[in-house]
Amino acid sequence: MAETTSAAPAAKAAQAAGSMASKERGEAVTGYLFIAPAVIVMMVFLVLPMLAAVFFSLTDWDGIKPLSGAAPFEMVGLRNYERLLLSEGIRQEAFFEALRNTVYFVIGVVPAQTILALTLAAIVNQRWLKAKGFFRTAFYFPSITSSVVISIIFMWLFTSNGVVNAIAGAIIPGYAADPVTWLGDESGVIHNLLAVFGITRQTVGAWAATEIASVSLWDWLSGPSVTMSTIMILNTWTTIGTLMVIYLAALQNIPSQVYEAATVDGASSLQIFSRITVPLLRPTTFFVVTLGLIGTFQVFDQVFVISSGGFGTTTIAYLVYKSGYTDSRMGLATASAIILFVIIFMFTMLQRRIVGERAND
Amino acid sequence: MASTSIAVPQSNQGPKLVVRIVSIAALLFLVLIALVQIMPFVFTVANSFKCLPAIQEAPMAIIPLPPIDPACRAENGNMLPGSATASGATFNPSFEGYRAIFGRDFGRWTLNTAFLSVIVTVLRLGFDSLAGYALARLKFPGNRAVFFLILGTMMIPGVVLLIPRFIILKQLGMLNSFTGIIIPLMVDAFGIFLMKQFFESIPGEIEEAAQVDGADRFTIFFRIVLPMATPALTALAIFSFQGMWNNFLDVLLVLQGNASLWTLPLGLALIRGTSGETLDWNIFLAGSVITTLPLALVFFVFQRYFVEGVSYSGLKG
Amino acid sequence: MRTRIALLLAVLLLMTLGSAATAQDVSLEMWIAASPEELEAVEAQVQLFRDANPGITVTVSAQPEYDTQLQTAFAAGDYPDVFYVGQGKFVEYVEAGVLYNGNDMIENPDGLYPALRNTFTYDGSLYCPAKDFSTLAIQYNRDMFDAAGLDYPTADWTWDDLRAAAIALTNENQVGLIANADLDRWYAFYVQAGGHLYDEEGNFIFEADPALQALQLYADLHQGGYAATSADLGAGWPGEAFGQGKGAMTLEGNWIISYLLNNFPELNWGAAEMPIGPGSAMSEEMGEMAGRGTLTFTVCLAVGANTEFPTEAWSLVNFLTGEEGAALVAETGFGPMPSRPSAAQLYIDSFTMRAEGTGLDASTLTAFTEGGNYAVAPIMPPGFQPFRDELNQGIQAVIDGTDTAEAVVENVAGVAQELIEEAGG
Repeated sequence: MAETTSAAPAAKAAQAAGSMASKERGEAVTGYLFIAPAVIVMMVFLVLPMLAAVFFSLTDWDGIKPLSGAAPFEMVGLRNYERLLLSEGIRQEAFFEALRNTVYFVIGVVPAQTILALTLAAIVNQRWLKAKGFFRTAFYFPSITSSVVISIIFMWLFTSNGVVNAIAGAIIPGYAADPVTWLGDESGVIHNLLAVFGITRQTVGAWAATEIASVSLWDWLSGPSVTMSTIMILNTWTTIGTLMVIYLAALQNIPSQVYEAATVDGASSLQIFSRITVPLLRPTTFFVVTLGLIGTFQVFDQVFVISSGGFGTTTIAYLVYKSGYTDSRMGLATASAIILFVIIFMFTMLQRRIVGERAND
Repeated sequence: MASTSIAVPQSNQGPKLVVRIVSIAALLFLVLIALVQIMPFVFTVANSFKCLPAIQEAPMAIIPLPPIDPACRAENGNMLPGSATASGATFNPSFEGYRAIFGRDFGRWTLNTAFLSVIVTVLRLGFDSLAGYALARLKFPGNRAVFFLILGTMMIPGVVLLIPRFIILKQLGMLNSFTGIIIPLMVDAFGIFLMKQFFESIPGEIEEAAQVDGADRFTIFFRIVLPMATPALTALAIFSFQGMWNNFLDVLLVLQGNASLWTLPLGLALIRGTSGETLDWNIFLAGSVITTLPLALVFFVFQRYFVEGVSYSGLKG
Repeated sequence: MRTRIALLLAVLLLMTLGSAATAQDVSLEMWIAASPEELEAVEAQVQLFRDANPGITVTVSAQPEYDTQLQTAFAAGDYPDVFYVGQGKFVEYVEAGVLYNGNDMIENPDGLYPALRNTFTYDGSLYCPAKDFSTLAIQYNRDMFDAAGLDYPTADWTWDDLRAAAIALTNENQVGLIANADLDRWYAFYVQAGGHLYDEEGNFIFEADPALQALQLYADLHQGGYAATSADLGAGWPGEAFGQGKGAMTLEGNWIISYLLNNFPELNWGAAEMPIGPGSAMSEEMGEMAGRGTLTFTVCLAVGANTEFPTEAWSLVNFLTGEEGAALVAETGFGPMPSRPSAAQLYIDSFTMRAEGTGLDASTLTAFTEGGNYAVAPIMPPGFQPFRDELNQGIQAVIDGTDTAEAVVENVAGVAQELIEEAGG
């Protein structure tokens, strides 16, 4: 591809101004051409299956009966959705408990991973830093290893007589006598915190027993369980490397002249970071937070490996897997997945409004 | 280019000594963080070189001592007690885990994984950036809709798509082949999104100037835009390579039992066995080390392209 | 750049063309869920079948994420000829119509352990023969028993003996019993207290009385500090905690044998049958061994309903699960027991050889094989995952003391009722 015709610029400009319409059409054609491979592949391998999932959510399919066979399922309309969202009972309870767990997970992880990733990226981007390659690789390390392997190693660090508790016991007086059972404690951290001030379910009053969507108000306020918090730490720890790399790429994009001008004006490093770097990284932050939302709302692998959904760690994605593949309720599973899709979509739009809009459009 | 590397931050006007102390403290802090990040891998490596009972005896031992490669088993085939090869912080490195790994087709799996990772990375670099560029820069009806469609594909748990995808792959005759892995993975929503955000953040004047000069969109894209996108392409290359290297579910779905086409994550999963409880740790950890090291190397090589000023160095000078 | 991409695509195209399958006269595809050791053992057994049947091609493959893979294959209507079916999936698969009814195909079904026959029988038909199985037993640390001056557990141990031993064996370094909040252990005590999973018509039941007694036993031991979960002890699972000497007893199945031999060769331990519980009048009426109860975990070797070669597929299954196959399972000894009592002694013998020079008293492994005579498979009806979850949570709550046994039983029974109604309507 080497055909750069260099006609007289003036003539070209005139021609361009003259045929705006055909230029726009040309741009549209190019656009479709550029996007076509991506759209075709995604249509076939993702959108089509998603439509199939929507369809399954309207059936009572068990996920086993061959679809090619006779009557693998019956159409049940919106009954799966109704069961999950509206009718009081065990399925509703399971869904909303999973939703609660997932929301606490998202609230805990997304801000933490974003701030830490930005900080690390800013550090390893410093000119004065020696052995940059080493530090970058080191910080990225937890993201390299596959999530299954890293989870298994993590479990080993966090067992109740593991490295973490050993260190904590050495630093915090009295800790060793009553260490945290990181991997096997279903009590909520907010509940535990309240208990320190003597507030328990028994003392808090009758309102706490009121149920909303089959889950009592008291249980809604539990906070993530201790074990879920452990998985949150793990998830943050393994994702900051990836997000750091994204920030690192974006940082290369800020012209050094901007910094030089600020330095001449006498701004300190911290001022430059908070007043210039962070605002300029806004589109990247939008990107990172969107990814964070999408990823954390669907957290699955680490739950699967560490607790198999026990100790208050069943997330919606895990519930989807469980009802589809161990409970033979593919209709319910797909319905849960579709609801999760809608939730994530809404959150993404919301954060687009909060973080992204101005910088993005 | 950003080649003026100075050992201390240049912005502070305070006395040099203070600056020095602060920078040493900062460096120590960084080393500490780096250690936290790397330590789990150090334990992985150390334990991959222990006999099975030694892992139980002294899991935290990280200092290797001779004899190298002691026999883990007595003559009748029974394991020697852990105290025979490890205690406290020291252990005698054994290759038993690695021998078992290489007895299990790991070479083939590694080659397959490397092949797939390279192909998928190259394809994604091309197609993701094309699509990302179109979404960021080109005006065409439906641009926004396409973007949300692509974004939307990331928002549904993959497990509910397994069965429909399997059926589609079967209809297309793509099961049990590398094609069935490569084609669906040749573009990804994440990469398109990444490239779109990046292209939006670079100023459009350069392209407009080139357009006025009469260059067509293809030329502009390949000659001007892509070279400016080095940092984003580097990130995309790292993520794509790593994503494919560690990919488990997509590969499993296509390959089923065809062990000659298997990749490292599938092999590792086989070694983990059906119940994770009774796995042979030394073999599993050896497999993890072999799986992780190439990725670390790839990252180390690619991160050099994150150099400030690359995107504009050739343009604004 | 463009030419390079085109070249790549061309290469890809060529690769697809190269992977065309060749047709065989009779070829069977067999899927198993296995560790590398088991895959090797099965591959060796299948080789014997190939040698005896030169006209039949058999390909064996071990699938990671086995159940997910198999289910996907079922749904797509494109599944293997011969495959493992775990006990927990059996009813679902029969009801989905993907299993070939083996009632007239299985050779010598009476030679199988009755418990295993029952597990894979649906509506009076035996669908598939068990390949191998495990049962739960008590594992005890001989050194700790010696130090406490206690006799080792025996087959006629009762709940009271277990309780007394757990109390006597607890000190600042160790607990008496390692037991997790896991219904796949707890149900053994429920059965020992006379509980049933199904009534005589085959309807799922959850009996309050035995459930209360079994929960109370857990509560007594855990809240007194005489029992602990593996998580409390800082181990990944009870077998690990037991190996590390953090507890004097635990309740695991045959998988623990190889694990302990490989990871803790010096550990001095033995096995005993699960203790005898209070039983119940109803279970005595039904002619059961009163108070006896353990759980079994097993897989069968099934033939796909749509196989092209049923005769050959069943001859492979019969070969692998018959007397000869059972003997091979016993000899390779990667863990589970052969599904036929005829090979039980062989199984003990092969572990006796392996255990030489280690701390295991292999003669006590009969505790596992004996369990085969009265074991029950903890199988719930399809769609009962919420019941399992609720019960596991309930056991944990009782252990922690955050909930009473009565409240848990009431709650769990309610969930069971709700799920039964859901399945009915």
